[in-house]
This record gives sequence, structure tokens and C-alpha cells, in this order.
Amino acid sequence: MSKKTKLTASIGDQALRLLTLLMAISVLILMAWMGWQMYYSALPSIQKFGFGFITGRVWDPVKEQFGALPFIYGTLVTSLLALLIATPIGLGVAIFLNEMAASKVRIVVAFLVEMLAAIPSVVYGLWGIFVLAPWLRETVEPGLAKWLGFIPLFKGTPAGFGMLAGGLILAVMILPTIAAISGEVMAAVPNEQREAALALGATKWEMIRLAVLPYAKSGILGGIMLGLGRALGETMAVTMLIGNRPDILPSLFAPAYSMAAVIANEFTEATNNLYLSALVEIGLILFGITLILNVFARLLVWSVARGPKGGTSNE
Amino acid sequence: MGQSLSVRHLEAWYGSNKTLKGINMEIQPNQVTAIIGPSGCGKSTFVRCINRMHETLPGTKVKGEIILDGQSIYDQDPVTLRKTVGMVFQKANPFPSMSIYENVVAGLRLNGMKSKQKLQASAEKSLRMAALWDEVKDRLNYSGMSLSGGQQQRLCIARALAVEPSVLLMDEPASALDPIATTHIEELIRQLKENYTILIVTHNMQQAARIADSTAFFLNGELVEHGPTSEIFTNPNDKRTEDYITGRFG
Amino acid sequence: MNDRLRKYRNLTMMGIFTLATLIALIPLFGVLGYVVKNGFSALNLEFFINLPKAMGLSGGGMANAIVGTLIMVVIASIIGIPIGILTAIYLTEYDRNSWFSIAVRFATDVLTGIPSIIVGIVIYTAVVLKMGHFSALAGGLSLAIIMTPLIIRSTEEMLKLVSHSIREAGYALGISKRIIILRIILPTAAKGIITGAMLAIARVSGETAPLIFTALGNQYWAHSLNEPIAALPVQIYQYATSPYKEWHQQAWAGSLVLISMVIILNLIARLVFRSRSN
Repeated sequence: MSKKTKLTASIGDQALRLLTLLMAISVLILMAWMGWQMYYSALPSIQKFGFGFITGRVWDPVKEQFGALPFIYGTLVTSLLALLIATPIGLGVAIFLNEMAASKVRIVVAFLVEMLAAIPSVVYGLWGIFVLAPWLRETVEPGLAKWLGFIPLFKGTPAGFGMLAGGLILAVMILPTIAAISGEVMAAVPNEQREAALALGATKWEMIRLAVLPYAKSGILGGIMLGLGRALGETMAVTMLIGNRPDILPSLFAPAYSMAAVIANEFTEATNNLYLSALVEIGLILFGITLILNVFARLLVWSVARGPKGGTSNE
Repeated sequence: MGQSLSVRHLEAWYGSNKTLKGINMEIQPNQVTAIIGPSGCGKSTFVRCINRMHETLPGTKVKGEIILDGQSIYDQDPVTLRKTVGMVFQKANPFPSMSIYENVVAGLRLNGMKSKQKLQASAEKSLRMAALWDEVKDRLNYSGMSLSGGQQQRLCIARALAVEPSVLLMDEPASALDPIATTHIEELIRQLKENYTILIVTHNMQQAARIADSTAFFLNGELVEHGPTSEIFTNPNDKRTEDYITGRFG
Repeated sequence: MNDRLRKYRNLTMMGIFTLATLIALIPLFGVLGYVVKNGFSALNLEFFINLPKAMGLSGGGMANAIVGTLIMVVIASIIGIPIGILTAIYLTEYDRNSWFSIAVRFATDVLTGIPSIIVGIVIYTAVVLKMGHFSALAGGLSLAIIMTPLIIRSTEEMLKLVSHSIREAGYALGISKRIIILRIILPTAAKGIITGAMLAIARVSGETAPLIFTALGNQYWAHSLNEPIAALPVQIYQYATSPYKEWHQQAWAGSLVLISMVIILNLIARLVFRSRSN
């Protein structure tokens, strides 16, 4: 074996290792750079408004007065509404798929749920504008106003476009996330747990309630958090349905504005630096919230489904 | 032609666990040497040190000397060493993305050999040596995974032989196979030893008795006894060997 | 508790879960149904060849938007797929457990969770403002940032599935690590990696938010990568939110095309993946 063969093999190997390492480093750099870029662009607004940015209710580009509260409000209300609807249904789907369905049914239904997730946000928005909103305006909201109108949530003129529409479409969009992750953690529950419950004479529902759900609890919570994260950041469908008015009103029928929506609508019209940096600051807040949510959510999911990905070099 | 191996004071660690505690052993060329012992005694680790595979696992450490044909294996690039010392694993592991033909010549082709003639000649030669040629010669471009377990293992043997090593390490090569396939493999080993030095790890003592010229008994990371197979099995020197052979443990 | 009561309760719960699943599927069929119904009538050859007509006029097409999407997806893939696969190789073959690789995985997860509009903001401030104009390049870059972590994740999963004994067989033959990775492991994991890439492509094709202020959109053909360019989802958005009925029609048609692309890619990807399991 010549020394030369020994050396060139090493060079080729080192080259690949170096190349892949550089790519891995670039991912870290990308994340850091994005965070820095946003912070830097938002700086003028941060410096001018400080903490009051989050509590400020006035959003007036002309007077250069920027407060983010209306958008935070709209985002939170629609996202929470979406969570309230999507969580029980998503869990139901996960249980159906994991514990009930025969394998042929499971393959088909699982695929359909994935298709729900695959539909682009803008198409949901389109459907929302021409199908969901009119339905809400003509049927659902008048109905709610008639029967539940004593609750402030359901007072006001049904307009179709507003927080209810936004919340509903978000529910549809985050449902696959919740269903998928809950399904994943439920599947990770060892069979011995299930068999132990069944052997004691439990019905299927009792087995799920006693053996599967408690074990998968934190993972399911993680899935819900990830769903929330997705809802907070969802842009197109929301901006097409929420009405895009920076008001803070208690009724779900009322129009509102979300953080992502205001960025999408006003970014290209931001004529001066302060306006732009105020919008970027909203984005920064959104980035921060979703980042924290994601970290906690993943930790929760890891604790049930598997350890931090990677594992040993053995199989 | 097979080569002789000289192992001196070999120690190995897996993490903080010392799996080999100072092995001294001479391995004769053109012979089959069986390594026997209970689970966890270090026999697999020992064999994997000889082709420096042990080092590929994280957290491992090796000390000591192994001399192959006059040269220390630690003086060489491990990649080149492994062309001289081939290995067959417990579970047959043909490359899933390759055909039978591509599997056999993988060691040559992926190391740069381009001549189609040489590759095809080598494939036929190796498959004949592995007693697989007649069964696969008409379907060389079928996937390597389309063979039965025993055939896959013979394919892996052919693949190892194609590289023309002088030492062949076999880590429980027949333990995952049915009795008929096992007989084929054992017959194969008997034929191969004329041209190779073969080390075979086995937990099956009858197998060692059938095919090995000399046998080494490992226990708890130590080489307890090493000698001609017939002696080890009929008249062992060490009581521990005797206990293992008569089935008192392991 | 009374056995009969438990049995009824069990049946009721099972019924509830089935009902939940049916409810969950209603919007799917609702959306698909309307898109097909409303989009189909506006879909004709003209749609795929022609440029948009001015507001108020019927007819016209979204050829520029379809091409624009294709162009930006290609740009994103050229950047995202190699970087993604190489990073995944590093995380699986060279360094699985150090703090560095955990950090990279963390960054990847963070990047998958970033709202896509944030990506748009970053590229806007970093690229569009610096260049002074919107461009297909900027749009492609945003999509690349969205695509890369997806590819890293799916490729890593596929590489980890390759049995370790295959690697050992490669080592034992005296093959160098680089060749084991490139000519044994990658081909073995190839189908799964391609599946992951197709799903990532399907995902970024539908992205609108990051393109609104990077590629901006264009009613005409773009003549270079340095100009604003139309994209299918962006065009749909602009038409859907416009007051013109004819444009609404176009939006449905465009949605039909977009959804078909996405669903077909998803189907093919899953079929490819299923065919590998024997």
C-alpha cells in the first residue's frame, strides 16, 4: 500500500467531513443571523416605544404612533378560539386513528388528515372569503346572537368577517398538527400498558383513559403547544378573514387584526423607517413567542416519544 | 495465502468497561481457529480489534500490539488494513441498493477498480469460492436482498473474498441460519482454509469441534486456554475450560 | 360501576371519536369540493398560456404565476436540498451526540417553527432593501430558508433508518467513510430522501406570506431573476381580495391548479416511499 493512496483517501474523506460540517454550521449561523437581522431592524421602534409598545392601543402611521396591543389581542383571541375547537377534535381524530381504526381505514383517513395540512393557507383564505364568511354571516352568527346573545362574545352585528371566522379557519389548519403529534405520542405508549388495562377487564375507552392518555399527557400538551405556535404565526387565511381593523372589541363577530396580518398588509406601504421598524418589532415579538412555545413543546414531546434525536452511533 | 497473526498484550475498553484484559495469542496461518466462550466474554471484541473495527465505535480504546505478517496493524491506515483482513458478520448484511453482482464486487469497485473484465472475473471466482455461483449466475443483476438468509450470508462471504484478504474473520456467521444453510457454510470454511487464515467466533461448541483446527477459550475478557481443538475438547488444561465445555455455565 | 353502563359509555366515546373524525374531514371535502367546482369552469388552455387580463375583463390566465412559482421553487431547491442533505449527513454520520449537533438540531427545529412571514421580513430587510428592488431571487431565497430545515429533518430520519450493520460491512471491506456515505448509504436511503424532498417542495409551492414582500408579484412576465415575479399563491391572494368577480373566478382556477400540484406531489411521494418497503 503506497503512501500516496493513504493520503488521497484521507483528503477526500476530510473534504466531505469539512463540507458537511460547514453546512451544519451555516444552519446555526442562519438562525442567529435571522434573529439579529430582525432585532436590528426593529431597533428604532424598540428604542422609541419601549415596553409601551406592547400595551399601546393606538396604531397610527400618520402620526407615527405605534402600539401593538390590538394585534396581540386579535392574534391571541383567534388562536385560543382555534385551540378550543381543534384540541378536542384533533384528540378525537388521534384516538380514532391510533386505537380504533382498522389498518385500511387508518391509511386512508391518515392520508386525508395530511391533505388537510397540505392545503395552502391562501386557498383556505379563498374558501373562507366566499364560503365560510357568508355562511357565518347568514346562518351561524345570527343563530349565536339569537340564542347566546346575552354573552358579550356573541353580541353585535354579524358580519361574517371577524375573529370568529379567523378562529374557525385556524382551527381547521392546526387540527392536523394536534392530531398528528397526539397520534405520535399515543403510538409511543408501550403496548404493555394497554394490555395491562385490558387484562383487568377495562373497556376500550377505559383503557385509553387509564393507560394511554396519562402516559401520553405531556406529549399531547406539547402537540397542543405546537398547534398554538402554528396558529399564532398563520398569516394568509387569517388576514383574508379577520377583517383587518385594529380594534379591540369583545365580540367574536367584530373585525380585528392579527400580528402576522398587519405585517402582511402594511409592510410594503411602510414609507418611513419608524413605521417599518414598528412592523418588524411586531414580527420580533411573534418570533419570540413562537420560539419559546416551540422549545417547550418539543421538550414535552421528546419526553414521551423519544429522547432528543440522535441517539448512539449503533443501530 | 493466509498469514500469521501475533497478538500481544491486547487490552480494549468500551467506555469505562474493560472488555479485553491483556490477550496474548499466536494464530497460525491457513488454519481455522475457533474462539469460544460465554456471552460477554469478549470474543467479538477481540475479533473486531484485529481489523480495527472496534475503534469505529464511539468511546472505545485499544492498547497493545497485533502483528500481521511482520507489521503492526496500528502502523497502517485502517482502511487499507481491512483489505487484508476481511470480515463476515453474524447477520448477513448485503448492501440493499445493489444487485448480487454489485454486492460481490463492491469492495473492488468502490475502491476504484474500473475494469469490467477484472470485476466480472473476480465476481465469478468469489461466488464459486463461496459455493454460490451456480445458484445465482443467471440472476446476477437481481437485488442482493432477493436471496434467502443462507444465500445472503454466502454472498457476504463472496463479497469479503473478492477483496482477496489473507485473513478472514467470521463473527458467528451461521448463528442466524437454519441447519442446512449452516452445513453449507461450514463446508465452505473447510475449503477456504487452504488459502486463508480463518478466525471464527462461535457459541456453538459442536461447530468448533467440527471445523476448527485450534480453539481458544475466552472468559471475562481473558484468554483462558488456546490449543488444538481435539485437546481442548477432550483434555483441557484449565478447569474453567472444562466447566464451560461440560456445560456447567454459559 | 354497572357493567352495562360502562359498555354504553364505551360505545358513546367510540362514537364521539368517530364523529370527531368525520367533523374534521368536513372542511377538507368542503374546500376541495368548492375549489374543484368553482375552479374547473374557469380552467382552460388559455389559463395556462396567457397572462392575466386587466381588472374587470374576463378570461386571461396565470401563466406567469405558474412559471414564477416553478422558478422560485427551483431556486429554493437548488439551495435548500444540497444544504439540507449535507447537514443531515453531518448529523448522522459524523457527529450524532455532541453539544454542537444538538445545537444544530435545535436550530433546525426552531427554523421549522418560524412563521413564514418572518422569513419574508428578514429577506426584505436584508436583501430587498439592499438591492433596492423586489426580485425572484429574494423570493427564492425565502423559500430556501423555509425548505432547508424540512429537508434536514426528513433526510436525517431516513439516514438513521439505514441499519448500522450496512456501514460496518462497508468498513470491513476497506472502503473509506466518504465512499460508504456517498455510494452505499445515500443510495440505500435515496427513496426516502426523495420523498422528503418532494413533500418539502409541495409545502413551499403553497407559501404566500414570504413572497409578498420579496418577489412582490407581477402582472406580466419577468425578464430576469432580478425583477419582481408572479407566483401562483400570491396571485390567488391578490385576486381573491380584489373586488372583481372575474378575478375571483381566476383565483378559484388558480387554487385548483395549486392544490392539484400539492396533492399530486404528496401522492407520488407517498407511493415512492411505500414501494421501498419490502
